[in-house]
Amino acid sequence: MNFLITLSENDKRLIFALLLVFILVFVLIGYIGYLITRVMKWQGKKLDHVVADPVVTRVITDKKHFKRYARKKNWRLFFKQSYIAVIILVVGSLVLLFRDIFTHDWAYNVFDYNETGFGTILFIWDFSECFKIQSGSLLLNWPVLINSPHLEGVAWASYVFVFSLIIGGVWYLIALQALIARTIRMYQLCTSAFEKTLDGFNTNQQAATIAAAKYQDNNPKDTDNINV
Amino acid sequence: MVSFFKNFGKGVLYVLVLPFLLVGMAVYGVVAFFVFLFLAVKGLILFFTGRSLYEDLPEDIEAKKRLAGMNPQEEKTTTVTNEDISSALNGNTQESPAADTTDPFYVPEYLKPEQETEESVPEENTFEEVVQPEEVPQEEPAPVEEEPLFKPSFDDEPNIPEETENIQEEEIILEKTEQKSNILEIKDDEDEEESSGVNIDFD
Repeated sequence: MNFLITLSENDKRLIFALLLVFILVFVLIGYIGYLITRVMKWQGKKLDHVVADPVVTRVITDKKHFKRYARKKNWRLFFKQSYIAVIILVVGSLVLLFRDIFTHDWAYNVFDYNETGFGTILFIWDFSECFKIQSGSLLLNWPVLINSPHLEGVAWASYVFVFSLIIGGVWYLIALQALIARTIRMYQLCTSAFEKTLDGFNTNQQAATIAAAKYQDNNPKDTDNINV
Repeated sequence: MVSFFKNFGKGVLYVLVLPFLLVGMAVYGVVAFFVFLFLAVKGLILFFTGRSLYEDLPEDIEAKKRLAGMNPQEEKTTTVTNEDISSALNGNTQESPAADTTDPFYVPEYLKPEQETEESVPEENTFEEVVQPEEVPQEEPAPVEEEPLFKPSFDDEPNIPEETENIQEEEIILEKTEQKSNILEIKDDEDEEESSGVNIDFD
């Protein structure tokens, strides 16, 4: 069975445009990943600042000790960076909890867009009518706007809760990302700071350098042709 | 163009790895939350026992000691004030009450006329007796090197007096050559003609 697909000029243009968009989307994702990597490297450098003194003064001399010490410092830093975020989250949750307790309204929907929820201050579109298939053909339609932003007095608790959830959550995630970045940095330092390596070391080259230096010291007149 | 496609490849890789990264981050987040709770409880307990969660670890204390040992002068440095000088001159080791130095008519004790201080200063504690001039050992003059009667001269390096005072600027030609490198480099015979450094030709 042979299927013959004939593409018109418009179809070719459409396919080319879609391919271009596809590639650009992945390139954009690549740049975002690169940005996140750079940020994590910067966050990981904080660990160097914390653990530098004991390593430089040779208080810590082996990998195991370093890992134990760096892990303690890492968790402490995480606690220091994230306790405000957790407090914000807890306060937001307590506000919602006390509101429900005092009003005896346990069916309070914090994401509702009609009256009680955070959705009242957002644009809400209905996409259910966008795509329709009638008599074998696909019909496209614009989404219908069902809510435009407006403040509702009843929804104050949901505003507080959702805002605290967003702020505290993002803050906590950033602290978590920093924690992971520092953990990665800790393992990198374990190998780089306490590794005995012979990379770039050459006994013959070193011997030749010493011999030439000795020759120059002993025969200063004969070293006109030697540039040191 | 290569970097563009590299980014495209990285983007594809990130999309493929993203679910695993998210799962790992979620697990780490949960673990971190429990550790956070543990540290919060520990911090509370330490707070009520008069200590802090952020206090130095034994390694930090040892490192600080060693760092202080590297710079011993920093610890020994003391600030000497006018009051210290006056009390030392008077032989008074106790701390004197703070004088009001903002007073425009304020005169420090050591600048006051001698009649006022004579009574309070015992003779055995005078400045002249306390501070003894140190005996400076006299250094012997360095021996002057006598010029040798006979100076050896070589044929290839004749002792020609150089006239450097009456040379005009136009006559000086600066020749720039290769700089010396830090790596040992033995020149070939072909390179012998080339000179290193700056040559000044006098026409």
